[in-house]
Amino acid sequence: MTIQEQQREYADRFAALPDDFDRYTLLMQMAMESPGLPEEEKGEGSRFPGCRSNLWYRLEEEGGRLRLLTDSDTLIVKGLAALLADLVTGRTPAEVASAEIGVFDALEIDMALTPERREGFARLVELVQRRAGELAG
Amino acid sequence: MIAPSITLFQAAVNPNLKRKEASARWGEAMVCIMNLRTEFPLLAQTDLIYLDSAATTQKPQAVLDEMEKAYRECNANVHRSPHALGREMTRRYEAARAEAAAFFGAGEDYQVIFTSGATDALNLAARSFLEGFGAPGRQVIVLLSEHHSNFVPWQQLCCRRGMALRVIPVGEDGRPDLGELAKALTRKTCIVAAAHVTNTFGVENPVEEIVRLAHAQGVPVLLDGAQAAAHRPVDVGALGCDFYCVSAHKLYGPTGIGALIARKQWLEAMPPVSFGGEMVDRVTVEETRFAPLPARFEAGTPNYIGAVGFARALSWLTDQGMEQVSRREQALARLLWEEVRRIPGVVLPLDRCPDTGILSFLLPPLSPYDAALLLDKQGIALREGLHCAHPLMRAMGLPQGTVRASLGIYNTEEDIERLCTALRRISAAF
Repeated sequence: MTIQEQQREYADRFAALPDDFDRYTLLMQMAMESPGLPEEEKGEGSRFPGCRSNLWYRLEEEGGRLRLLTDSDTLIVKGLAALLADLVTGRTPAEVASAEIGVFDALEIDMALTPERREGFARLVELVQRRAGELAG
Repeated sequence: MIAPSITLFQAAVNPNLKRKEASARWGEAMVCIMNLRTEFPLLAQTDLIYLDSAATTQKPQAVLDEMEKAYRECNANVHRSPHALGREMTRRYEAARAEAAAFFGAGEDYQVIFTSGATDALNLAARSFLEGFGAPGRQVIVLLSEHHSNFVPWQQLCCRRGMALRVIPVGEDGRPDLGELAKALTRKTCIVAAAHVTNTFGVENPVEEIVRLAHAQGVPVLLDGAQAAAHRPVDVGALGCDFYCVSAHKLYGPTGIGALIARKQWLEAMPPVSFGGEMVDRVTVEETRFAPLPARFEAGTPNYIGAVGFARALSWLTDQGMEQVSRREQALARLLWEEVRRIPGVVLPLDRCPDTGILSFLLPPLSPYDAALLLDKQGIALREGLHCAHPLMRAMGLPQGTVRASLGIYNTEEDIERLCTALRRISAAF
């Protein structure tokens, strides 16, 4: 499945829910199911500085494939970050760097976020794609 | 709705009653039968449950009308005006000051200074008082539970002036440790600053006792009344405090206006800290002679339309009867506490019935932000976070703060039921 196809699947899944409450709840439940990061990794070194909530991440490459792990102390941000991690993990750096990651607009989730969180999250997506581009050479 | 007894109405229209008491009786009768929500145009056109009055209140039509009327009929700069418009606007502005003095029980010993809000009043008091009475080595006492507006000014000014800031801790009931306060009061103390009611957990501080302890040592007391003024009768003379700060927008009035109500004995000895037009008597190249009170502390063109709106909000509240308002809100606060704490999954960091309609709670594993978002999606408006009270939240081990529901005069038992239904839906999903 391409990144585009996976994003469409997410968008369809959220659009099928009857209201915003259910969409946010799904996102938060996904957050609770995501592995997150070990407690000892949630320090300043892995903290993404652009978000009002605490958001930690680890992006690494192994065997030509990316792995993104994310965590947050706010479930909605953790859920969005987990979606991003799901889109990115297992893919090549080149694929991630060149993808158009717009699933969050399709979800309309970000409209509920405060402007600082929305902007912070957008910067995380940019950071991941930039680092993927660097890894792709 | 319970119909009021004939006796209440007869009592209210007794011509021998003074206006305030007549209003109180009338208010008692009317609140029984009236859902005040309909008097608030924003609330009347929506199903939204507004539980964020501690952040700001909605405005009754009467206040909106009064401000529009002032703009339409006599908008002109106030004081020293040679024309009729200016004289009429000045009359309304000074009438607003008198209304504020009456509402807050500020007798001849006190002066009402209009400010842009409680934060401005607190900053004015802190800067001017410490310029007059602060000195290196002296100290200011504040409570740990203060809102930043009554904490940071003192902290920063003490730091810049080589003074000590002594912070009194709070107990498990959210109230200040009066033993610690008594020990902290020394000859070096120049002022004690405390909230009348806290914005985080709706705790009414023992302000009469704080005043008694401080005055016994000759120390004045400043009270932050931002969260108290709309919810219980306030009489600064009876409280005995030296300074009392309020914001109009937290008592059904407009933003951009508030008041510092202070004993004249202090104001006369405090230097002005904001300078410009209106607050001077005579200016030469070498020196300036300042105007008398209150003008001395009201530099620049005041928010005179805001003052008119402020006064109308006060007279509107007087018409409702503050004793009745207070009793009803305390009953609703108890209902809010009792109903919310029963919901599975809800955690109350301070599990005591709040003294006023402010309730802070948590819904783990959701962060306060998550919970507030899910409540917003169910038509409930309230607040989450640290509530500008970082020292208290840190001391209580609440790094993300709380969800806070706060009641206003327009809230009902049905609003609380809707909140609880919404909370139960969240609790069931997690």
